[in-house]
Amino acid sequence: MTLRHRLLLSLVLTMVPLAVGAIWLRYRVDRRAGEQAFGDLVVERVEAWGREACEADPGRPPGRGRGRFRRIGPDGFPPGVLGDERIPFREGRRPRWSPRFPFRMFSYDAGYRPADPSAPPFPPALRRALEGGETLASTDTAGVGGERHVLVALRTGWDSGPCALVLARGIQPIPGPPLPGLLASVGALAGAFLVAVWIAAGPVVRRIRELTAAVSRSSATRYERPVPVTGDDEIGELARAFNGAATQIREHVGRVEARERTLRSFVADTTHDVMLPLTVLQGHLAALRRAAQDGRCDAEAVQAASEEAHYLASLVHNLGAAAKLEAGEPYVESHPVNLNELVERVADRHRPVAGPRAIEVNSAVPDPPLWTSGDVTLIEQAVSNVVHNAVRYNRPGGHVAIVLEPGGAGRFRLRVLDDGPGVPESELGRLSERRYRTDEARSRHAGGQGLGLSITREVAERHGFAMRIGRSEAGGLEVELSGASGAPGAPASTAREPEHRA
Amino acid sequence: MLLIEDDEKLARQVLACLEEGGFSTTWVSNGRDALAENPRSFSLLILDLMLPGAHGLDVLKEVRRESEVPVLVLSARNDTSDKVRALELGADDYLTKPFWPEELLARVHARLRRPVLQRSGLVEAGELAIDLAGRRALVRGQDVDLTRVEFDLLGALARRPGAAITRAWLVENVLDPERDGNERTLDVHVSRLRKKLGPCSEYVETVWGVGYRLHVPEAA
Repeated sequence: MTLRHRLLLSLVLTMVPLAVGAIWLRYRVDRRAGEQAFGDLVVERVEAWGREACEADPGRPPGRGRGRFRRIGPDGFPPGVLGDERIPFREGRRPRWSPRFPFRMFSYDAGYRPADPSAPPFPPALRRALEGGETLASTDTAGVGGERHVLVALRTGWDSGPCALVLARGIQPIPGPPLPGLLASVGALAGAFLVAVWIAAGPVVRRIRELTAAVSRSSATRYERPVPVTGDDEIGELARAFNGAATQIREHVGRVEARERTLRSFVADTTHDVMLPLTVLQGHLAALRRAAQDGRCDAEAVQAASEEAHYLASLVHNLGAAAKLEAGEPYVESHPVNLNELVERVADRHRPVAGPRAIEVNSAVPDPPLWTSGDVTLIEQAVSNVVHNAVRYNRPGGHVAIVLEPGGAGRFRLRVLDDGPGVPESELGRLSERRYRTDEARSRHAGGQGLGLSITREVAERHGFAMRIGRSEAGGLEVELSGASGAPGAPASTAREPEHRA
Repeated sequence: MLLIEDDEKLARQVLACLEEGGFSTTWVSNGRDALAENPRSFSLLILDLMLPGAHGLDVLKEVRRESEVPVLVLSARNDTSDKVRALELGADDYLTKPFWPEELLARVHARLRRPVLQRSGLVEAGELAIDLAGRRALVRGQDVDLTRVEFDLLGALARRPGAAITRAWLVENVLDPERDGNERTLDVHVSRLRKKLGPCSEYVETVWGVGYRLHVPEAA
């Protein structure tokens, strides 16, 4: 259905009930006027009849019988033959005459008993109206043969006799509405309206069609081309709204595509990052196999292979952490974290690799335990990265210490220090400055500290921890993390004594 | 010890590792069997979270309904919500795969060690006995004459046997704040204490980067 058809249909649907209602209302008003005119005539007749004549012979009122009305002038009516009267009836200025008006009167006493036994019973509706205080009451009822009858009841004031009340019945002088003519005129009017609307809708329909074409063109160019905005009306607003939506779609698609590119390169880089240590590991394993065949065992190759596997595990964890950090909020969770247990887990994780190289990993935690809130996986990985570096770049016989202490004012202080070769002062600054970025910070297997430390930094930032990198007393590196501590309703497991090992 | 692990290779490795650590271990491959084994009768449960059939967390919930046996959770997915839920459901600790056998043993030992906090009473480290309530230190049953600070120092280490205590904490809590209390003074006190302990001096260990600890041979 086109817009025009819709307009026409709604026009028809509104006009028809309106026209029908107007005709019906008009007819009601006319009939009411007919009733009133009849009432006036009845009053006139009863007065002409007179009390004495009535009470002398109440069964024979005037107005009995039917007859043809004579046409008379607009000013009044003749004292004509009883029962053959014409009702003067004005509608507006032009008198309109009922062609025929037979009517009949009956008299009743005050108890609504008729004088003429053939009289109809007094209609209850009119009786109620008279008892309600009216002197004259009328009603319009269905008659015989498609006619309508008018009933008029009159209180004469001659209460004691048989003529206390008079009831008159006649044919309604106003006929039903002339339906065919009316329908024709309504139809003609409606037709004219419809044609006007059809023509008037033209420009609107044309503009909408243009807008549709412009939208199709815009979507064909991936919404790069905006839709022309014509006019400062609803259609103009529609075009503007479309342009707004197109901008949003472009931005969203842009983001999704950028994300997909990042993901692709992430997968590619990750594969590269993981393959490198795996290759090294395979090399070590091959050397071990040869050594085993020769009946000797190369402890150095075993250690190197172990370290490579350890690095590989840490790398995969870091890549997971990087993905999580990049994805942001919903994936970075916040829960109470027992730092004492975290430190012990990290120390236990690195001891198996540090031990064979005669590097001591010490840890100290306070009693009672310190808690913070954050993502336990990320914080653990952050600390683990620092410890991993401290072990990895240390010399045989070296030391690494993880010290967790209260930092005062509801804070914790977690230091990782070593007596390794450390880094030059200039490098120190660079280490502190470097920010984590997926595409840059990865693939630093050779440099080593890249991804790990930058993840530590990013995790610290996310959790509102301060991170400081400096020189330890022993000349190595000292990395300090500090942040808010406190046990937000520390779970029952705090009651268990944490482990303290060095 | 009860191991609930679906992967056979890993299970065999873990079994070998625990065996070497001196633990006898029962292995079941799914949660239903684990519950049938009566978890209460074990001293420790090692539970893999990624089990076929019932999720590991459901097994944990079932176990916790009837017993307080320590549970060490193994998790391959480095997923925080899994760990947090496991801890909330009553797991005592977790270990993320991949892990070293030594790492597993360390966590197992840590879980099995009874709370050794002895606020009062006797702490023993080899031939050294420290009577915290009576403020006495005995070497091979012989009283050692210690100054107040020396005993406070030994007592502070003995209250958390095996734990490294930082120098800063000892300076703040043991040394007399009225007098010149710094880390150098502390080291002097420690060296005097060691001299007095004679054959037992090795139990007061220096911990690099941290401070000191009382070495308790049986602790591990």
